[in-house]
Amino acid sequence: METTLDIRVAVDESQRMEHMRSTLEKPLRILSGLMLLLTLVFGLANAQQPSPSPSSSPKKSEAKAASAPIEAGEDLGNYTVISSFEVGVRGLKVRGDHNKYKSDLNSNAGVRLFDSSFLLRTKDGKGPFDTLLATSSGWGADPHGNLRINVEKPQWYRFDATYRRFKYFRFLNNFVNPNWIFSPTSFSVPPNPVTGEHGYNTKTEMGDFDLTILPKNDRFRFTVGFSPERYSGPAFTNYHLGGNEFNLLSNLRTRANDFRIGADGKVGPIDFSVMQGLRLFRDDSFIDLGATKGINLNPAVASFTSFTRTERTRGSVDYTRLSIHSFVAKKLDITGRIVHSSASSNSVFIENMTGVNFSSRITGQLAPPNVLILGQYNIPANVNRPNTLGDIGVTWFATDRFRVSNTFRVEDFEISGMALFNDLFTVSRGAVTDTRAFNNLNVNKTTKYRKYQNTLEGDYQFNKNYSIHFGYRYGSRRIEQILTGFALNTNAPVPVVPEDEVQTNHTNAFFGGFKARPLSNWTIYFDAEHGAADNVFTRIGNYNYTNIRAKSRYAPNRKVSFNLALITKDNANPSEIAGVSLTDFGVDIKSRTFTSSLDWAATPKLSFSAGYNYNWVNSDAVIDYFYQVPPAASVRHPAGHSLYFVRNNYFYLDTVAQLAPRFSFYASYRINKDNGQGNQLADPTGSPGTLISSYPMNFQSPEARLAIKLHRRLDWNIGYQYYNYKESPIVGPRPQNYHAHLPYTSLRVYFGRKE
Amino acid sequence: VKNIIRVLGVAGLVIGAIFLFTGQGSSQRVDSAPPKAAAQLGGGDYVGSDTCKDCHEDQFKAFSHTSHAELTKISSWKGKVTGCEACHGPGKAHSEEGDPAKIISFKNKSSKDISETCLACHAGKEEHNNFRRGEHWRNDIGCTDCHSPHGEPTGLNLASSITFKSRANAQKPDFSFLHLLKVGEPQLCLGCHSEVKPAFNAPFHHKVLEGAMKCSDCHNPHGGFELKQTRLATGADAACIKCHADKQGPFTYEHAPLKTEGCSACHTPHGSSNPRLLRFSATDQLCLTCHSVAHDVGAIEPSGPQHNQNAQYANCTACHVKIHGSHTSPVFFR
Repeated sequence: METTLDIRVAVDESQRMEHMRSTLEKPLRILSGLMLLLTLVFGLANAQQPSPSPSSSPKKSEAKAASAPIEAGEDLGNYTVISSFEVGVRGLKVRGDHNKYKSDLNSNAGVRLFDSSFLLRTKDGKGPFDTLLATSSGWGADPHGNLRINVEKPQWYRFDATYRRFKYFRFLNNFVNPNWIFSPTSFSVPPNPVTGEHGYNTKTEMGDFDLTILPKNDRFRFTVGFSPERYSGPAFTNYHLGGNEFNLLSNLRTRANDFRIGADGKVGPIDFSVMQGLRLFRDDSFIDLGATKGINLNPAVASFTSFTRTERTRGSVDYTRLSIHSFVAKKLDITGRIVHSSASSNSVFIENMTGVNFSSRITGQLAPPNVLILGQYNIPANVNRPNTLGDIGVTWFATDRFRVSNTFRVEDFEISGMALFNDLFTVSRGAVTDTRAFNNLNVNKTTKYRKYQNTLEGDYQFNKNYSIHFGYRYGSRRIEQILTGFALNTNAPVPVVPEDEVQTNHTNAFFGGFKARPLSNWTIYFDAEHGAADNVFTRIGNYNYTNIRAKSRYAPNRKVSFNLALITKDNANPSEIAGVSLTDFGVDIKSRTFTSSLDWAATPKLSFSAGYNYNWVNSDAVIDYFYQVPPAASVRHPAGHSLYFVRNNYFYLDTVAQLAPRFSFYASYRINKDNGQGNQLADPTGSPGTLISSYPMNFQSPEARLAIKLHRRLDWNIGYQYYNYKESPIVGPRPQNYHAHLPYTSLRVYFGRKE
Repeated sequence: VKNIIRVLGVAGLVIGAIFLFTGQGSSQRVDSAPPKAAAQLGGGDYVGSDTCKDCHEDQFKAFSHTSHAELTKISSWKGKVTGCEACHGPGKAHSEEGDPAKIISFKNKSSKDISETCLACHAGKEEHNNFRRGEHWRNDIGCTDCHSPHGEPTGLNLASSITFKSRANAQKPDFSFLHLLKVGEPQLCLGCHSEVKPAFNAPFHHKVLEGAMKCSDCHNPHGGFELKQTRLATGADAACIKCHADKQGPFTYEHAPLKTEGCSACHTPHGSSNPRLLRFSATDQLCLTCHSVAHDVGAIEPSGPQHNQNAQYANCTACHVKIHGSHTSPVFFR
């Protein structure tokens, strides 16, 4: 925990340099040792190889090896093995904002297993498995590692396993950083622009383990599966209590286990699949300030002297899925699916606190200066959410060329939550002690949701080069929210006037498109959709949209392919809500995406891949908001516009070259450059006012690597990665720019490598 | 629920009626399954894959390592044609006369026709049930646009990125080998969906290019009932919930969009410059887009001067920390 706290504190430049030196020294020492070792290995390998490279005509044989299928594999008893793994060491030197570097990349220096691939394949079908494949990447010094395993004997079983681990580090100065824009001189805590208040340093581990019995059986197959997930680590959070804002360090600890069992197969003309699952979830996160007092941004008002919080939560999701499918008379494809789940969550929230100078909004009548002798919340809660999802899709092959499909969906769920509030506050001021408490006051919140949707579509195939499709979608959605019980925002709770709000939407959309192949090596895809959909950004209204997508793929020969695409999305809300014109209540989001790429295998020894993308987004939402211009105590409540802009250019270039029979070289360059809002500035006090945001930044990463074949079983790689991140000063209180240098060297070891 | 049961009941009746009145569901299904191995049954036009090998040695060699070739060993496939002729049809005439016209070739077939050949066996799996109504079908992308039914990866292990997943090859096989993909993920998907490349190269992104995740972890390329062909997590929850289990709820006070609109209402799932993959870089502007009630309808509007956008309260989630849902605070304070 201390470490995390340290991270959040500003690190001055000298500390950073020291840190860099120490980070670099060890890997560089290992690096130089490894280089020495490699030189020896290289020499030795050359000495021991009788005829490592093709003799008379190396160019010819290399060309053949690159173009023809390669017979890889090495005998291992009844199996053939093809395997390679790459292990090495990476250095790291970061200049600039370490927190941002770690938030973005978080690669560390040190020894690591870059990746591995291991395939065992049976020669004669004997043995416990026919194939075993294991691959991994990112172990050692990477924030994301994964291991995938597949073992299979097709007539009996297949086992698939995936294990993944992600480390998350996020300390950013432009996210939840109140001091960035709010630092009144009366505060004794100085403005702290280094990081925001919601930094965390957590880890997730997750796995999927699935066993299929009789995987290739045409009639029945059985499956069992297990997916665990673990999430833990320190994270900062805030507690807004009675006008005060406390920054707290919490310990996150959640776990989920998902068990499932199922079968699928065929009975007569019906293909079926059934699965029963159970996911168990628990949250044991807690906060215990211990000896550390809670940080209040304004300590003159209130602070904790002790604080503990637990919210022990136990949840479960019991779910069943049944699917059926049939293809009747080669004319009618029918698929039906029903999913029913029953989710529940039970929790007990217990919070104990002591402190000084608590606001009377929380404690009752005794205003500061006061002593909070004990503040306590004890809130058990219970929530259920039954959820049913039914789908039926039917495709009718009217003719060999014309097909009509209809897909119908209904989704229904209800969230019924109940919490029972028990509050106690004992406060003293001088000789007066006041206690406010209440028990067993309930709040009931219910959300009911039902949606029907039907899609009718057709497609016609003129010939193998031309086809069209078209369709119509209708949706109807009803959401009802009900609130009963007590209003608990003071220490004198009163029953709420029951609220019951219903929102209903009906939406229609049309879509269509075509595929055309005017030349045998040129294909064009086009589709468009226009209509209305439910969307949160239009509050409760329908969301009028027009989406167009056009793609072109041109491959004049096997060596070259050229792709172009244009995607436009216009999402406007000119419709009407509750009889109110939306000219002053609209949301208008437009995006344009242009993408292009070129892949060119110039020769068997030289290939290029390059592309350019441009992404343009304009979002304009009519909003009203509160705004105060200090020092005047006048609070404005203007109507205005919330504008958000993206002007992102992305370019990449990858090239691979076989410089010599033993040397291959890879180089790449990638850049994301977002110009954001350009010269536009927010004018929150204007008429109408505007709030503007964007994220102008420049993120580039060149990379190069040289692979040297030392031996049939061994490649030596040396490489270098560079990251340069630079953001505009408008993004945050201080640009979080950084440069990162990541040199590495590694050995790739092969088994079964043949050419 | 009653209505759902009613709808499903009606649907069941319709399906039942179709079977009843067509009266040929069962027999026709047999037709769409691989044909009987006439050769194995003592005659007919089937000659077996070994005959094909004589002329098509490279294809045979590659094919012999695939899961298609394994079918001969499986009892439930006994008596059915497996191997080359399962897709290319009986080869007797072709092998005897050497006439390319005497064998089924896919060169001049449309993507949908090619796919129908594959679907004759693969359509019944849950994963493939909706292929005939999926986005790829709709846009005439067929099975062989992504899969190579004959083969295994070829190529040398040349230098490649240390961070981003390189293409699988014969010396470094990966899971594309098991699924007979032409190229491994994500390169296969990005070949057409290049518009998402910038997002996966943004400062914050899901680790797809790095190989820790696959496109198909979240999307079902073979179609599905969900928008964008996303997968479902446990039960009927969004795909995101599979890994982000702490957002699954249910919560006593649930932020309505969590379940009604989905995660993408506020987040851009592939990648972004914005922290937490948020749609907007400024949290308040994201929230105000909904919580701005000009005419007293829609989501609750922030009230009074304490939501001064010129002050610390412009960071909505600084106070509303449990923004996905809370068991104890209607405004997500704890």
